[in-house]
Amino acid sequence: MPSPAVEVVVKYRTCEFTTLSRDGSPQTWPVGALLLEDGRFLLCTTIGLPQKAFNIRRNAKVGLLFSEPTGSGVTEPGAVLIKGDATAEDRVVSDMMADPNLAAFMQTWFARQPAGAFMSSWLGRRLLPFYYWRILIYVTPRRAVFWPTRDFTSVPQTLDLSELHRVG
Amino acid sequence: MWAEAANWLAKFPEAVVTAVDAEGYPVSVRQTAPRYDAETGQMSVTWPAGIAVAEGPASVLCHSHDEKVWNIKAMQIKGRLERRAGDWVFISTAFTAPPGMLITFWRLSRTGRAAARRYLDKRGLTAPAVNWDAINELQRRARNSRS
Repeated sequence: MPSPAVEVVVKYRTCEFTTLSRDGSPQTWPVGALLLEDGRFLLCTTIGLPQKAFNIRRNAKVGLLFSEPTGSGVTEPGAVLIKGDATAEDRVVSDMMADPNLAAFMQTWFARQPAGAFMSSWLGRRLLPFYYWRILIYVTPRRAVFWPTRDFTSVPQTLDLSELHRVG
Repeated sequence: MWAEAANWLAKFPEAVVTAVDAEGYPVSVRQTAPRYDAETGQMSVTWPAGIAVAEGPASVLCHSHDEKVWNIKAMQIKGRLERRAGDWVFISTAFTAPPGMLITFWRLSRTGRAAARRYLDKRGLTAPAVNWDAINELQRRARNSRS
């Protein structure tokens, strides 16, 4: 049985993912993220929207806030903030089953976002041919905190990072 | 000047404020019922004890999606986080109203193609062939996992 904090990072559909731009400004996007068995997170981006990868290659420091419970089924939603170091791979992946973690990520995402099948439809392939040219991003958590009730005015609990090393 | 940003912000019940901590990591917290001044572009921010943050560049993101992660809406305001009389204040510096879904797709189609082409050209790569069979198989598994 996962802890309430792990349930948040596993079940929330999106998180707010922040990288730092060249001038140090935070750039935040809502993205999907998959917790891997070794406690890292896998995210990915298309090379048609490569800014996240460019930012990470300049500055590895990133933030992940899991705070949007819509669609997660979590009945007592909390929030988790993670500070971590990210790497953005050099390779461009166009086979979503080439990497087992990426395959798990994509299958999870397809299950959660059925309408996203548009991206592989006849029209989607012509409008966004770059959509499945992907850069894999791995985040290694360094510190994490947990709000059990999404009361962001309260002092959060420190989260033991070993909790994120979940059994697959 | 910030009326449009205020109007957009009012469409969302919450906002995510992100700034940078003393170690250089970005840190984010949500604000419920954000109070944004349409005249000054300023918003008071309640920053919880236990999350260190420093004055400097910051942003406000509002986003939403439905239960199936569709009907996605998002807006962002760039700015700075400053400490004033013991309180944290977000000060807007830039805002561009987000376009509608169709225009977003159309723009993404154009700008994404160009960005992808630049990315490949810079690395001497050719456009990779997508394994559509793999995508179809993963979508099939996803459908089965939902049923």
